[in-house]
Amino acid sequence: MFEWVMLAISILVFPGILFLISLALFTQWYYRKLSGRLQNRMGPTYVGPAGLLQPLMDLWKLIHVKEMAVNKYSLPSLAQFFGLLGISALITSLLLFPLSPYHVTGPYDFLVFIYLVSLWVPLSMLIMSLSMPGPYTSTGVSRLLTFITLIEPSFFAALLAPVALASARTGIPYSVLEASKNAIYCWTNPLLLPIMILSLIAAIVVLQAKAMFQPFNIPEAEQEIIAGYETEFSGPLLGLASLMHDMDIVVTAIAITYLILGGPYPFPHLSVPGIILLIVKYMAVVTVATIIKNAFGRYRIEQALNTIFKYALIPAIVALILAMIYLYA
Amino acid sequence: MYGLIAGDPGTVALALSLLMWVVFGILAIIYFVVRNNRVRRTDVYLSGEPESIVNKLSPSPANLYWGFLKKFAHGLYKQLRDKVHTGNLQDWVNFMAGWYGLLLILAIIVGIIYLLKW
Repeated sequence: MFEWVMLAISILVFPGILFLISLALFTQWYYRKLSGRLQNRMGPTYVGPAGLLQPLMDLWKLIHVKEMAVNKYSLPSLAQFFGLLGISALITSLLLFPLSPYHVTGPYDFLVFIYLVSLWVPLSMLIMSLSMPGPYTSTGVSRLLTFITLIEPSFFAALLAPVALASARTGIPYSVLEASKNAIYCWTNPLLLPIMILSLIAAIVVLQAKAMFQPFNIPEAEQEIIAGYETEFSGPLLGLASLMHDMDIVVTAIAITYLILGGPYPFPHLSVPGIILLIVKYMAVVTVATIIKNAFGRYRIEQALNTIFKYALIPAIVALILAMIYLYA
Repeated sequence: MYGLIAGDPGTVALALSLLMWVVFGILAIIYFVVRNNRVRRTDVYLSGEPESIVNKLSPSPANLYWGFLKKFAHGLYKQLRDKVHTGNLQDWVNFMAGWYGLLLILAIIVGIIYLLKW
């Protein structure tokens, strides 16, 4: 009976629907505020202390107040279905992490994490876009698809090396839970340190590209192709797309925080040093992404792909080869 | 610790897929309760121009990977076009025989290493 209660809490409250939505909105506020300060602007200001509730107000306004604009080619029900499905996949993926009071774990569950995050989320985003067609949308989707061909393999490879190393001697290979608990010890082994650094660099570049932050914002390319794949979204549908985008950033940052940086460990979750360490690592990841966002301009599609190839895919594959040599040689 | 500790990844995939649909159901209820149901009919956004200015509203699916094939992997695309798809069967045979020969040599080397180790 208590198991079901914990499962319900994990899905509904922490780290499920309520927590993930709150963290996504907080993360959006943080990168908007920091971007504002870096550009000598105020950033969100009016709603809540220091504008903290602005993203919540924006989301509420889009979903509850604004009407949805549709044209004769639109399939809004299909778009909303996939918007909700993508968000559900992101929420469910957090049950694999030690953050959740109710764990789902098993050997090779990292592949299930990739299945949820790298398959359902991009697929949902693409189908949402294609359900609301238009020339700008098609151009945006074309660029997004092109990005996905490099981003998702890079994401998989960047996380696979630390997961393989950290979960190797735990008895549950390639488990997200075990890898999260042991990743921190890979940083203290001088042989594994270069592998972890390469994986971290690759993962940060991937986060930047998945978030479509500069220099990788060519799929939405504001002003050039209006809003790219999001051009025909409005009202509640735009709210869903925006929420899914922010949740994707959060889940990617959480994956980097746990699987590469080691989460709160060696301290337990429910301890003051553990909580502080976890928050510091998460905020550091988001801060680095925001600083890169503000330091670069937009790359052209082939420049963006070359950068992802050089600084994400190649380091991730090198890290993976080195990790396999370490484990099996 | 509360949770499901599975012995194989299939069970984890099944459990999480089921939970994903449960979360979807809960989210759908919340969303349809709070969302604004009003819908406004409009034209496709074309920067204020009428639909007649475009031949096709949506480019061909063949163009979806334009950025990847024509820009990023241009060198590979050019090689494939100029060396393999020249229209000459001999070029294609040379290309395929070259690759199969390389794979055969690799397979023999790996086989020898494997046998010597045993």
